[in-house]
Amino acid sequence: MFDRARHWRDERALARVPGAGWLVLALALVAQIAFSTCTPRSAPSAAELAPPPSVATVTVASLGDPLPAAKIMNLLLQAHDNQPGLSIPFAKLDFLMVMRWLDRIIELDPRGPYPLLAASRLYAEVPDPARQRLMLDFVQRQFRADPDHRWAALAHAAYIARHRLKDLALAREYAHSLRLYATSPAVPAWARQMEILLLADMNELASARVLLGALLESGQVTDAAEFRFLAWRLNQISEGKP
Amino acid sequence: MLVRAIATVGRFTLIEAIHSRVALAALIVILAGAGLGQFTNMLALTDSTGIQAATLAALYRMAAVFLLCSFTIASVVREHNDKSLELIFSLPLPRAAYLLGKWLGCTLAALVLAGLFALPLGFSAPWPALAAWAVSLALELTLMASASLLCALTFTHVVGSLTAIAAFYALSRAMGALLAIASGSVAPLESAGFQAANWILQAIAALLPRLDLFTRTAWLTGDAQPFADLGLIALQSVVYTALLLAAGFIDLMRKNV
Repeated sequence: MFDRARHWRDERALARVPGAGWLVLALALVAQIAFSTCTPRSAPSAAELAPPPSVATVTVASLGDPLPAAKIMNLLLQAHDNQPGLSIPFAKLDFLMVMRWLDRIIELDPRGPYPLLAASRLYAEVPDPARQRLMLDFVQRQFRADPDHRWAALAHAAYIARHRLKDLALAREYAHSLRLYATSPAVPAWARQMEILLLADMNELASARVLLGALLESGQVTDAAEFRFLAWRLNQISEGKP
Repeated sequence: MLVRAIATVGRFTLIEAIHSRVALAALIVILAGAGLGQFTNMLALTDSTGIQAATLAALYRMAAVFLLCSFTIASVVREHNDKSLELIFSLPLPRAAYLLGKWLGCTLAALVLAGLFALPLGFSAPWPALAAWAVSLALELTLMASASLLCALTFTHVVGSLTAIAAFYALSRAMGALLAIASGSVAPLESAGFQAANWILQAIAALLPRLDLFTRTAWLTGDAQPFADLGLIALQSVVYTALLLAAGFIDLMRKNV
C-alpha cells in the first residue's frame, strides 16, 4: 500500500533536495512577503470616480454577458467609499457621478436590487441634505419605472425625507406614489399605508423600528446578506449613529 | 560547464519557440489588433489616439501573456510525455541547468514578444512611455514564464497547468481591487467569518506578485508616470522569479525521473 502510494506520487524524498534550494526558497519567500506588505496599494478615492462604462463597452468586455459585470460594478462603486482618514466617506463622493453609475447598473441589470438598496440606504443617508435630495429623487425616478419591484427603496426614501430632511411634504409625496403605483399583491399593506405612519407623531427610532422591523418580519427579505445589513442598520439607528 | 549547459538548453528552447510559430501567432494578433485599433480610432469622437493606444495595449498584453504561457507549458509537458525529459536527465546535466536553461529560453522569447508587441504601439503612444511599457511587459512575461514552468513541472498536464496559470494571473492582477472592496465601510467587519476570509485574502495577497503595478495602460495615455514604478517592478520580478525558480528546482529534484 505504501509502495503503491509512493509510486503514484512518483516523488523522491524531500531530503534529496539540496539545502541551497530550500535556502533560496525561504529567502525569496521572506523577500516576497516583505515586498508585498511594504509596497502600498493605491486606494480608490472620491475624486477618482470616473464615468461608468457604456452598456456597449460592458457587453463587449463581458463577452456578451453583461449581468455578472453589472453585479461586479455594484461592488466596485461601493469600494469608492474606501478612503482612509475620512470620517464620512460617502458624503465626499461626486453624487452626480454615483447616480450615473447606479443608472448604468440598473440599465444592465434592471431586476437587481443592489443599486436601489445602495441608493436609499447608503448614499441617501449621508449628512448632507443636498446630496440626500439628489439620491431620493433618483430613487423616486427609478421607482416609477418598476413600482412593484422597487417599492422598498421608496418606502425608505419616505422615511429619510420625514426624519432626516424633516420634509413632511416630500415624504407624503413618496408615500402617495407608493399607494398609487405599487399595486402588486406582493407589496405589503403597510407600505401602501405609509401615509398614515408618516402623519402619526412618531420619532425617528420608532419609525425605523416599524419600517425595518416590518420589512424583516414580512419574509420579503430572503437574501441573508441583505437581512444582516438591514439588521445592522436598525442596530446603528438604535445606537443613535447616522 | 554549467553555463554552457544552460545556454544550450536555452538556445534549443528558443528554437522550439520559433518552430512552434509563437512569433507568427504574435504577428497575426498584431495585425488583427491594428485593424481593431483603426476601427476604434474611426469611431471615436475625441481622444482617438488614447482610445486606440488603450485598446491595443490591453489586447497585446493579454495576447503576449497567453502566447508565452501556452508555449512554456506545452513545451515542458511535451518533453515530459515523449520521455525527452528522461533522456535529458540521463545525460551528465544537472537538473538545475535544465530548469535555468528552459527559463533562459522562455525569457529570451519573452523579450522578443515584448519588443514585437510594443512596436506597433509607437504610432499611438509617446516613445519614452512606450519604452517603459515594453520593459515592464518583458518583466511581466518573464515572471509569467517562470510561473508557467513551475505549473507545467508540477502538474505535467496542459489543461491543468493553463487553468492554474490563468487563475494565478487573474488573481494577481485583481487582488488590489479585491482588497479595496473587502475593506469598505459597509463590510461586516465584526463577523468572525468575514475576518477569517479577510485574513486569508491578505495572506494570499502577500504571496502573490504585485502584477497590478506592471505594464499599465495609463502610462501610454499620459494618465500615470511610468518611470516612478519601474524600480519596484524590477525588484518584484527578481524576487518572485527567484521564488518560482526555487520552487521549480525543488519540484524537479523530487521527480523520480
